[in-house]
Amino acid sequence: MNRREFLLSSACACLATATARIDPLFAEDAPAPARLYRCGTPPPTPSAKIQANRVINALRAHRMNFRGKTVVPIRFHIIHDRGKGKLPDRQIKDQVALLNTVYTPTGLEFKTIDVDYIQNSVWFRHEYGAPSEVRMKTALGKDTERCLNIYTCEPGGGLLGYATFPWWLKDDPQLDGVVLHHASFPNSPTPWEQQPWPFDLGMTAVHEIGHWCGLYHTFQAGCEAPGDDIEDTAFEAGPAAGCPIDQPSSCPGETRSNPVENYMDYSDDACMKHFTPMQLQRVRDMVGYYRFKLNPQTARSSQLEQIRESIE
Amino acid sequence: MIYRLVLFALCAASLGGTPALAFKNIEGCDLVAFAAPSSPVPIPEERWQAYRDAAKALLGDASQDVRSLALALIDAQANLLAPDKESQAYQDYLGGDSCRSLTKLNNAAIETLLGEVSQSLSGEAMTALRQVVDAALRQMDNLDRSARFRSVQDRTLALASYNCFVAATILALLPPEKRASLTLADFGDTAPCKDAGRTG
Repeated sequence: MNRREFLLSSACACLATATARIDPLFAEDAPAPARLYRCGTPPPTPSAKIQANRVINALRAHRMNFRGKTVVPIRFHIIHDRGKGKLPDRQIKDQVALLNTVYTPTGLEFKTIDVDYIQNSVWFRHEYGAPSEVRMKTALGKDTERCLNIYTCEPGGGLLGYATFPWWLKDDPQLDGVVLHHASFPNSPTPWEQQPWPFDLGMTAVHEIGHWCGLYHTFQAGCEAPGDDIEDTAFEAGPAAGCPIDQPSSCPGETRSNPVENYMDYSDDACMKHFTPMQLQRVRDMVGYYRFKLNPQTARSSQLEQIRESIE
Repeated sequence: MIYRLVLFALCAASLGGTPALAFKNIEGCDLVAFAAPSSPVPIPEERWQAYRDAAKALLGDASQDVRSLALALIDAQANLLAPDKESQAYQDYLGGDSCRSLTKLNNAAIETLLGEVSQSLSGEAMTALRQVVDAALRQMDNLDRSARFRSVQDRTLALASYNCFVAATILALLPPEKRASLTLADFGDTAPCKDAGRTG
């Protein structure tokens, strides 16, 4: 077999592979538009961290503060598999109410502007980073610079949810948004099939929107500085499980206890109770800078434009 | 011969088996463990050679995008393990205490090993290898930073799947004597397979 024959045969074999994977069981890795694939995203570390820190430093140097209210319009995309995961309106309202309670100190106000229901068994069980994620978001996502797109489904790989960071928006607007497990919404009329299930109070949305607003996990980088880039969250060696509030710090030299009640840890929903003041400030800064089109006033700010020019 | 092996891997993937996800292969850690002389599941040298040749051929094929390349490499890794997959020795390994997964890669060690690989790989293939490794690490990092998992075990398994793919891909391209001298710990931090939800 010469190289030409090999390539021809390989193409046929690839076609066979792709065809086999069009079956929902195999569809996760069918080819996707390369342009939109997240691999095209610039590496998030360490350059993104440095960039985010430069943004914060520049905002402080210019005495730029994002005060006042910013309305965040939400477009919900409820993906279901023959009715499974079809969230009722009541649960969506309860979830948004919870978000507004938690995020009030940041000035963010969430408002549902659209809810669409999509029957698609492949998207319902998509895996993070797979072509089906790209297809789903490309088909459903709308106006990502001015809205928060929330996709509910049953993501694979043991995920409750995942999000995009605000500094990814410029390069990958199509992928922007938050993906949530449908069983993470509060006040479900029926218990989730996996028991115990300590993730049904709506805190996954709070956590993932924290990422969407530029927050890292409290255990980011473990015990090594700068951790999660937030000075008033304690260093934490790894994610918490359950609600271990009385444990000593997991990091040597850390006098504060593990931040297990912080929304950006992995504790059970019932354990999650707060953001720190500096996390709230970072949310204001990151949303104000990277998601400036959410707020018409910020979008017109010449001062912000100057800061942007000085950084980028 | 090499082309036929690659073709076989692609065909095998198309006809059945577990659907592969690009950049993720938890069984890559088994390959590293089985490369040692004291391996609980000895793999004949000719199969290693065929795997190495297949990986080199795939990396040298400039027509493939990084995702397709990663999938083809995972198929080749699965093909290498396939004859032993159902063996009692493999099942015992998975259920025993010696089974381990890579929880964290040692960046310096990875760079050193990539440097060794570069001595026997064409520039084009080396570029492709770096692209695949970088893409796997980037996707893993993005996931780890932005996701909430149902359990610590789910997180461990997800991250180990990327790490094991990277380790097995690099291992494939090292000379036989170097390959046989490595353990999982040479690639980074490890944890028992049961911590990642892997049992026999």
